[in-house]
Amino acid sequence: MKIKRREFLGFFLIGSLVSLVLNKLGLRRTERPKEALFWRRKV
Amino acid sequence: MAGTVQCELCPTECVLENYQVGGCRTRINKDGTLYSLVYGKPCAVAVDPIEKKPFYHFLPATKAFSIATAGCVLGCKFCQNWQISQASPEDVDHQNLPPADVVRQAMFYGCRSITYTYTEPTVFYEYMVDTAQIARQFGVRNTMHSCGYINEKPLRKLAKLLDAADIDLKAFTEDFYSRICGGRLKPVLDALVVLRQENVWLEITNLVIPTLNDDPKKIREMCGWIVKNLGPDVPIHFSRFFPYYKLKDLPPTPFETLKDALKAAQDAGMRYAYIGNIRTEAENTYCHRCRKLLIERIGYHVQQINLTGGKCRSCGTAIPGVWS
Ligand code: SF4
Ligand SMILES: [Zn+2]
Repeated sequence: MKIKRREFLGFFLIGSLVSLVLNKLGLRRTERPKEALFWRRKV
Repeated sequence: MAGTVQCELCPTECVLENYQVGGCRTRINKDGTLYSLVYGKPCAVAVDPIEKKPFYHFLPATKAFSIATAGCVLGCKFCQNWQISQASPEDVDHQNLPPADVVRQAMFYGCRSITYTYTEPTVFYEYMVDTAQIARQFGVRNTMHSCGYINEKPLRKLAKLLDAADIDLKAFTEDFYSRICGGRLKPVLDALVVLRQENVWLEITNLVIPTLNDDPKKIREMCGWIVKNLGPDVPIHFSRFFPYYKLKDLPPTPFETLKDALKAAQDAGMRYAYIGNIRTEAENTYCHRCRKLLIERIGYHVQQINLTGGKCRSCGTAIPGVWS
């Protein structure tokens, strides 16, 4: 799937800016646990 | 056994009680749910030449944005990155770098690809898959350097997002895998076949360690297996061993041994065999038909490329690989 120029700019420029601000303000949520893929409950 | 889970990502298939961590140190059972401990937390981030991975038939002379987290599914006694591969996530410094930021940084640094590498990307599977999905949308390629110790289902899912894989085939005996690496050979061979079936560009690295896996007969057997099961076009890199980690008492691989391995590969019908970790002409790529120089390399540096549209400039033969 080819992305449009506008989507690219949104992702790259605005995304970078938001990311930078979040990092500077220490607002990045890092401790959110990520559920793993490929496992099962033992019965 | 309430709350017990079984991880099905790699062939170790750890059974984990509540709050137990897997053998790779990166997956934990919390109240009956398995979580990744390394998602978005790379401990190594760098921009490398793609030749360092090593990929010799994949976008030569381009940059690869390279990431790794702590942990590994194996425990090789010769590991060159043991400080991070044999460490728990909490014991190494890491950055907070969500998947989208990995892709943005790769683009910022002009990298054509992202490589999941250094330790073992299987241990950060979820992070790799999410990053690869975004990268693909933005035209950044995905590659990994892996030991290939991963189960078929997760590998097939991952392969749909991968453009290239360099797999360590560490030896061709079960004994080596169990004594030196704490794993098994068979699942690695199976993984190589799956990657080939899924049309992922494949290269193989074999670290030749004096006395442990340098038996010419076994190397010939390994190369024969590769030609028969993966075809003659898969490049192989015979890499020079240096004493490291738990194998400090062994000498570096003699050049002669590496040359013998190279010859064994050529005799078996492999068209592209290389020697790595030592400066030699065997770092160059030569056309398998006319033997003219196609890519000249000095270490990770590409000096010249004599390919046009993926074809040899002298004889016009299409050269296996991903060139654009
Ligand atoms: S990926 Fe880790 S937790 Fe899962 S089976 Fe392999 S070693 Fe065990
Ligand atoms: Zn040629």
